[in-house]
Amino acid sequence: MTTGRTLLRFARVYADGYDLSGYSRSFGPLATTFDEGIDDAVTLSIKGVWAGNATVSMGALNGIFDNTATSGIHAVMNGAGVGRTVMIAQGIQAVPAIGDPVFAGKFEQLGYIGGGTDNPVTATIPFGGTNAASGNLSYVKPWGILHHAMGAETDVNAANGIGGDGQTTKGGWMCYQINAAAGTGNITAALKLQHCATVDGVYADLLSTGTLNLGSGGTFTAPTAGIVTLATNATVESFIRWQIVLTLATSVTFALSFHRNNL
Amino acid sequence: MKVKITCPVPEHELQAGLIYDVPDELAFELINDEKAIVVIEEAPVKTKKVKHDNG
Repeated sequence: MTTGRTLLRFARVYADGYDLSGYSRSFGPLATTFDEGIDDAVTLSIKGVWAGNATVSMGALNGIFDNTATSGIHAVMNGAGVGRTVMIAQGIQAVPAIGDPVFAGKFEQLGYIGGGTDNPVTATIPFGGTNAASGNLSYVKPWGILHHAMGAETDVNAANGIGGDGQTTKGGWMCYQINAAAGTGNITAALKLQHCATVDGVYADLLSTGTLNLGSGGTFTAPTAGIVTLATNATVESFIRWQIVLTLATSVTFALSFHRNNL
Repeated sequence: MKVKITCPVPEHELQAGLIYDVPDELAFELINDEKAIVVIEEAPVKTKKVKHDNG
């Protein structure tokens, strides 16, 4: 993990498991905003804020119109009015790597504005706030840490985790984006995050997708994504690492983030 | 059987990150589906009173 300033070209955009990075020109604002209190009396000198009642949104995604079957931004995102699990991994001075910042959530796609008056033809996708069925409505913080950059894994993870900032007891949530998978029959696998109090200790499961069936007859069904949430009083140890259980799958290509809550 | 949930199970109102005592059949189903892990309980430490003899 590198720290410091970075450039937009090191960002990667994933939505519902699809990698839209090559279609995206810009996105944002990646916003967390709090409402001002509307119940404050006129006698108060200062207007309060409803802390803990945030609106989280990823703004708009501006891309290039492309109707390539199954992967083009038009083919994937032309339906509006649905919740999209979006992950924006911001690499620092390089492509995203473990430890880099991630903005994620399940946001309502408010519209789809395809076509345009300029070249090349563009596609603009405005997003609203967090989708009611996102599962992470108890958490106001959309920023987390990338624990697995988009890439294929064919075996379990025996490496040490990252962290070291101490144990927290306010839960958190993970976001996964599965872009591809392979196997010979049913393509079943589970993605996990594991935690441990010490960097080289025994890691125990923290969060899991549960066993996912990603395809049958050796054919990958389609990219998929989701959010798995801890209880808001769950204990999370200092160090965290990704893990995979390849039940019948032989390979899964995925990105995984964890959003530790400390508010 | 005590299990720690790693994937929420809303139909049984089980939240991830917490420990629940659930029927064995459900516990095995959740573990098999990678949604829970077994909580290994340590045996209680037995204490023994020691008489201090000053004589």
